[in-house]
Amino acid sequence: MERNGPFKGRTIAVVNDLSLDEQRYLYRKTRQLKEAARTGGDLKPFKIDDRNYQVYLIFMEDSTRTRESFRNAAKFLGCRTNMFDTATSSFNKNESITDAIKMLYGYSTDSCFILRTKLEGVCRWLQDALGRYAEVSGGPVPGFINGGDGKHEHPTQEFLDEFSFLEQRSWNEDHIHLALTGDLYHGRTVHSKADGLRVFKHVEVDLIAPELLSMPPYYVDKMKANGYEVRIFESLDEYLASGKVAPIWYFTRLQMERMGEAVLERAPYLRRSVTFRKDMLGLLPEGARFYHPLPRDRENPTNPTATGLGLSRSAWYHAS
Amino acid sequence: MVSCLLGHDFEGSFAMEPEIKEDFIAEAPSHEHRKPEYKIGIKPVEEGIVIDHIATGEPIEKIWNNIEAVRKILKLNVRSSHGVYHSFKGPEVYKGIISLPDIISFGEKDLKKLAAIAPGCTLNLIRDSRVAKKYRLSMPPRIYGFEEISCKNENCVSNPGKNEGVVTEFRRKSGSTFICRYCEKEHNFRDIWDI
Repeated sequence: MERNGPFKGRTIAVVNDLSLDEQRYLYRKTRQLKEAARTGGDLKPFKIDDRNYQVYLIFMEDSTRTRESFRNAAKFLGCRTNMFDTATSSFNKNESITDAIKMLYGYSTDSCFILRTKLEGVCRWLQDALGRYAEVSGGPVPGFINGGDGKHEHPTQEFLDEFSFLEQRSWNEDHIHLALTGDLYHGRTVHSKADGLRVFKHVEVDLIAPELLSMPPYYVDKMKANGYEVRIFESLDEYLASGKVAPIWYFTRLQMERMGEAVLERAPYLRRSVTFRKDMLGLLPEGARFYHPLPRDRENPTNPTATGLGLSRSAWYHAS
Repeated sequence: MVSCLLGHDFEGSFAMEPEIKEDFIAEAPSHEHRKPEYKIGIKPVEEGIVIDHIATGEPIEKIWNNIEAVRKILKLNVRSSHGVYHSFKGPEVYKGIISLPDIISFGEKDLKKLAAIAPGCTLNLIRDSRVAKKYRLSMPPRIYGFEEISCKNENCVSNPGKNEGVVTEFRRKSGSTFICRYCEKEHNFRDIWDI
């Protein structure tokens, strides 16, 4: 199939690099692909099948889920794929990533780079730098997809979460009522909800975390500025007693490795505040769904009852 | 989508870069008939430049700091004087003034830089003891391309320690808050400068 769509050379560094209309288009296409794959339909319209289209997977930090989603997607799409990771490449040497990408760009006529790094903002910079480079060299503008840049953003994961919520809401974009709980302070996946949930017209968000793990004011303000109704609770017990409980819950892992000693001393209390217990099940509205971006903490999961099959499966369709 | 395989049936708005209005330098009436009022404690300038209304209304210590920042960043190592004075805006309102009798012209880049260090100030070109031209400088929508600015997030691709050759750029979010174009970390505009 001829590749001359309107998104040529686009970079997705942050969620807002796709307009709301573009995000909805992405969800619609993902839904069509998922449906075709599920029912044994024709997958050909979704395949690139062009060995001149080069996908570079550059993983400068380990991430099994994101790396495998993109690697499998590239395999399905039928494009040439090169993987660079910390174990097998020189990317972590003291070399400029800008220069390395310029070199790789020179090897192919049409390319897309997927990056996972600690270097925040790297995709926006490469979009600027390689955009100018392409202009001078007369080559096609390469696209960059952010597979997670430090504490900054992970837009494709956010698109996947929103796709899952839409799926659960039977594609009704009018309203969502969502509970976010766990480590709201460190969790990039919960921060990006401030942008991603805009796909719904009316958003109610309940933030449940003890003060030490609470959502930074910057994101709370952003949610309010986007017109969301925000309610804040210190613990699941307090939330469940509030009388108005969301039918969709999103859990995140407590990132103990990123906390200082003063916080770690209070770890048992913090865990207790945001860990769902079986005796709470009766307080949930009918048909309530739990989501967790995975992986959970092996010893102390905040949600011992959830399974992750749905999300990783959707991730594959989505990355494709 | 980015491979251009899809998108033929897309309808709606594409993502757009926000429009940036670069109108933060405005020429103001210079009231040529009046003599400038830079007299109290500062030698009147016959020919040269006077930067007035620096950090007006801020606590006095901050005004001194802002004067120092302007001098250091613009490298004003010339015969000159400066000080903190009463503003006509109220009895407890102060402002900073730098008077530069030896400088007779001011380039556009320096004018932009000055707006980004001391927004709200005015720059007066003095000819024959009168204000020949006056510019009011407000907070710019973008601060970029100056050697003396950097993102203070040490994980940012534009941080000088990363050596990626990134041209630092900040965009104004609101008030005096700017965000880094790359990592989107918020900075107060005073923290952008490396002094």
